Amino acid sequence: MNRNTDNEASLGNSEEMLQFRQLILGKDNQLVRDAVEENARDLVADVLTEALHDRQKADGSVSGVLTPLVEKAVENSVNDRKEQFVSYLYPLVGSLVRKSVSAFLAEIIEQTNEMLESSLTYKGLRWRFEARRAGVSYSQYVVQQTFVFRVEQVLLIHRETGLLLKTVIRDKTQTADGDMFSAMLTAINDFVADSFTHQSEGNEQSLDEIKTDDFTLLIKQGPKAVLVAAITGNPPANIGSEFQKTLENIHQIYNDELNNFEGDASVFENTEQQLNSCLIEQQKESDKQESPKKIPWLVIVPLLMALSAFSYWIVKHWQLDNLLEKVLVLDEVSGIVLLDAELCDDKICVKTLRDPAAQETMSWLMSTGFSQTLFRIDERSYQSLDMKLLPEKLQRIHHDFPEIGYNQTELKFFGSISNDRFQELRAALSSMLESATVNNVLSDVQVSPQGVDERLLNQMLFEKNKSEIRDASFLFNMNEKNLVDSNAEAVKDISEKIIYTTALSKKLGQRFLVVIMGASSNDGSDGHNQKLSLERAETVQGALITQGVDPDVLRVAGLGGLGVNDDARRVIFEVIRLEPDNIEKAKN
Amino acid sequence: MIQKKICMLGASAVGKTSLVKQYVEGIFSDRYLTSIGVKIDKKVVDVGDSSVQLMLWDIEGVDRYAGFNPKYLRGSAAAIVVVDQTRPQSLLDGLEICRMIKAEKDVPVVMVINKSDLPKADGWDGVAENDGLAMIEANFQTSAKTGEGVENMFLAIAELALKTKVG
Repeated sequence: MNRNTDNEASLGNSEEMLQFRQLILGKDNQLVRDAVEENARDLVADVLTEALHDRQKADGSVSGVLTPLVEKAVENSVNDRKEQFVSYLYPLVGSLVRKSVSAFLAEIIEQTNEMLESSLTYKGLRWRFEARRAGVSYSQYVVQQTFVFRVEQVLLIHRETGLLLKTVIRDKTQTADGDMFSAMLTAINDFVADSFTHQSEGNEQSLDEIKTDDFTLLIKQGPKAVLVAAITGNPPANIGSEFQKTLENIHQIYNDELNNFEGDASVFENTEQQLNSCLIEQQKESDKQESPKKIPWLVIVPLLMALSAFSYWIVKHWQLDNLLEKVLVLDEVSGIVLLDAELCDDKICVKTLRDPAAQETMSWLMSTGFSQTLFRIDERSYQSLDMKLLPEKLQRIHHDFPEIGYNQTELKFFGSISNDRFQELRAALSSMLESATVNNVLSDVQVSPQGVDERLLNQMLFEKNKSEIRDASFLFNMNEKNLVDSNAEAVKDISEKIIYTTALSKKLGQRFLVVIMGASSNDGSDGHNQKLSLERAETVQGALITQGVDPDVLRVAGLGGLGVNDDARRVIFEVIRLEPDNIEKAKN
Repeated sequence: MIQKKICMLGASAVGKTSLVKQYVEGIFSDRYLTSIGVKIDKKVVDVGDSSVQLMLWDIEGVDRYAGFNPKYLRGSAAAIVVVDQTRPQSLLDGLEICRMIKAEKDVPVVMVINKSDLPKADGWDGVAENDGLAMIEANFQTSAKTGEGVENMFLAIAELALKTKVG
């Protein structure tokens, strides 16, 4: 061109110029064009590859143009020559399918894992709460928290008409009405442009960005089309230039389509590739680093608890099993027969037969070194003929027959006894012992025809009962004046003893008083303890009278607080024998 | 599918909004109308074998004194001017709007005479003999109340819009 310009200058309006013009533009023009066209193929062929490469490198538009062409070509080929395509692809498809299925599964597992982790951690729960408070769905909130920003949807809008040309959306389930959105956004843009025009000397204003707390609409205006990106989170400042490039690229490629747009958006279907490249996102750095450390405590803690409970149960059972083995092979003792021992719940249930003269089953087990808390005892009474129990049995019987003596070394009774009492004694022995043994035990006992001095006998019985009454006591619950149910039997027992003693005292011409003394622990004020102890004594007094005890022989006293132990809460008895003149005083 | 932008204009209370209310799928609430002066609805109309999606820009009531934002007219394939046959004044306003539209943009204008279920106002015919009517491509009688003529009107608009070159 430069040479032409020079020539033109030198030729001026001369004849040569006219000839030159005719040569280029006149009837020879066709010849020149033919010559160029003849070589056009070669000219283009020489540089085609390089030109494509350079252009692709410069702005990436070649792939944008080629993609729809290639897609169409492939589609045509597939339609026309299906069989051939199948044979081409057959070797590839198997491994492709395997690969994609395994990738898909891996992704699903990863996602599920992540979801489980994030929903079962403290953070997961907090996010759920926060999401509820913010009125958004949990998944949306997770996206907000996990991504610095994420482009959710991109719309390409025809600038003049506000009609939607193409939209791509990340989450296909969240469909917004792109048509309405485009029109409305255009209207808002028009409104803004109109409202603020006067401030800027006629330059049309347009929206660039619409921003809420966590949502941004980024609007890139082109001469013919507008690109709108809906972004959650905080997009970086330079993100706009990416969209601008895409928009420019679309303008370049679809220039004619945009200029001649008559409402048919189907020609813009292929912009999908460019728009998809705008669906970018950035995950939060901190979250990426945190993820390996995430510990689902909400699962681990209950699991650990369950595990430790289970191990405790295992160990306990193992211990009980061992113990049971030991119990089953214990040496038996006199008067106790072990019937059965088995595990029940968390204890060992032991069934025994026990002679009343023998030690208790529990004390037997404890004497062999076992702990009391491990056992549940079920014992039944029986009479053992075991001679080892004889001393204990004779001791007990002697208690009821104080008028005779007892030789502990020879295991014999001695002394004289009335006939009635002798018969009673023999009956008592016979119920426990073999007849040969009974005869041996009684061999030194004489039966006096007139009996022993009855007064002496009564006196001894009186003394015996007196000491038994003194030994009795009833325990009470804290701050409670009523008797414990389990004491009912004991109340009956002591009532009978007092009634019997009353009868004896009448025979002896003596009088006596039973002083019922209530006491309490030191908890509470002195006044309260005094009152409570007296009330306890009165409770027992009432119970004894109900059982038939003569009220005249009973007296009550409140001792107040006796100590800090539980056994301070009790009622005890004292028996006072009254001399004849004391009787009168006591009555007063 | 072909899409077309259609603007609807008219004096206040002539029934523009009622005209499309039962007829289109509206998403944005009426609040938008008062905020920015336009309410948008869409309606798909079948014309022959093809479908046309009409984006209806319902522009708030205008009269001789309060104009409308001319930018809303941009890119529209047709404009509908609605008048109320019980109020001759609305026809005068409508003709003024037609003039304003034509001054802004060469776009086919259709006049819709609404409330055809009510008797014509006295003096309507006098006003109607107006040279302004020459500006109008077509006119229709409709009743938003009974629905009479509404469907035909939108069909005609869609056909008209298809013929119009935008830009």
